[in-house]
This record gives sequence, structure tokens and C-alpha cells, in this order.
Amino acid sequence: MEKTIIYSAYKLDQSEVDLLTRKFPFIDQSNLENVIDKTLIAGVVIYHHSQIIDLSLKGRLNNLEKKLYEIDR
Amino acid sequence: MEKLGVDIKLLIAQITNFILFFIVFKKLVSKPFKNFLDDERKKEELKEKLDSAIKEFEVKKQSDEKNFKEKFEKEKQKIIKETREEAEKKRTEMLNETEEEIGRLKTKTKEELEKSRQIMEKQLKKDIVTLGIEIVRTGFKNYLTPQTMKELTATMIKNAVKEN
Repeated sequence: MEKTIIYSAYKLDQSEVDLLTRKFPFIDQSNLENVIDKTLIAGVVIYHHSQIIDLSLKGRLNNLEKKLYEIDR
Repeated sequence: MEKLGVDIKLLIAQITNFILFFIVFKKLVSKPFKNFLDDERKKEELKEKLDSAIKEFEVKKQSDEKNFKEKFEKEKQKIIKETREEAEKKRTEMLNETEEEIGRLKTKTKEELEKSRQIMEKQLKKDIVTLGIEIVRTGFKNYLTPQTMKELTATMIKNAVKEN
């Protein structure tokens, strides 16, 4: 089974890992790596196989920035 | 006749003398003189004819000169008028062309200014957005507490199901 890498701004505790496992059943806690990336500010980014799930504040702000650029007056 | 004192021989001689004189006079004096007079008269007539012809020629020449001057003057005025009209026409054309060119330049300048304004506005908007997002980002980085960070993370994970 392929490893799941979770990037977070701080070290996730067990309750947070459990929450993630409940929401995303494909995550295997025995084959999981938590990498600290302070630039995410808050939230997580999940890398599983070729899938990337961005639940970070950094990602949200980037999306917001893109949408604001696209707005035409 | 002798009683009257008239000598017949003398009379006859006188008459003969007169007749001879008459004949000689007519042939040698009268005729040449008459021819001379005729020649003079003819010369006079020829001279008068020539004078008349010269006068006629002078009159005609003056008349031709006058006509030529009038025609020349008319032609000159016509050329001057045409030249003035042509110059005026050219001046008007050039003015119109200049005005059109100015109009085109004004339109082009306006369009370019509008284009520049739009580019600047777009860039300004982009800069404002970038700055705003960076302020928010920095704000979050500097003012988020660990507890708030955890709560935010938990909320984002819970909401993830709806989005993903």
C-alpha cells in the first residue's frame, strides 16, 4: 500500500489524525507520514498516490487571490 | 488789200509762221509738258495711294495692338484668377487634411491613453490584491495562536467532505 504524506503547519496530534482517517478512509495510519510545513499557516495538505487534497489556509488564500484577479469590473 | 496797208505776203508768212510755231509748240513743248504733267499727276496719285495704304496699315496696326493688349490682359487676369483659385483650393485641401490628421492623432492618443489606463488599472488591481492577501497571510502567521490554528485545521478538515 502506498504511503500517505500529510503536510501541516504543526505536528498533528492523534485526535486530528483520527479525524482525518474518518473523513478520508483511504488513509492508513500505519503507513502515514506527517511533514511540518509552516508556510501552510493552518490546515493540511494530503498527498496520496497521485491525489492531492489541499485543506490548508495557504491554499485557500491562493485560491482567493486567483479569484480576485479574475474579477472584471 | 494794199490800200488797207496789209501786206499779203507778210500775212501769209505770219500765218505760216504761226502754224509752224503751233505745230512745233504742240510737238516739242505742249506734248512733253502735258506728258510731264500727266507723270506728275500719276506720281501724285501713287503717292496719295501709298499714303492712304500706310495710314490704313497704321490704323490696322494700332487696332491689332489694342486687340492684342486687351486679349493679353484678359488672358493674364484669367491666369491670375485660376492660379488664385487653385491656390485657395490647395490651401483648403491641406487644411482639411491637417484637421483630419489631427483628429486621427487625437483618436489614436485617446485610445492609447485608455489602453495605458486599463493596463495600469489592471496592474494596480493585481498589486492591491497581492498586497491584501499578503497582509492577511502575514496577519494569520503573526496572530494565529496554536489553539486557533488547531480549531481552524479541525474546521477545514470537517468541511472538506462537502468540497472534495
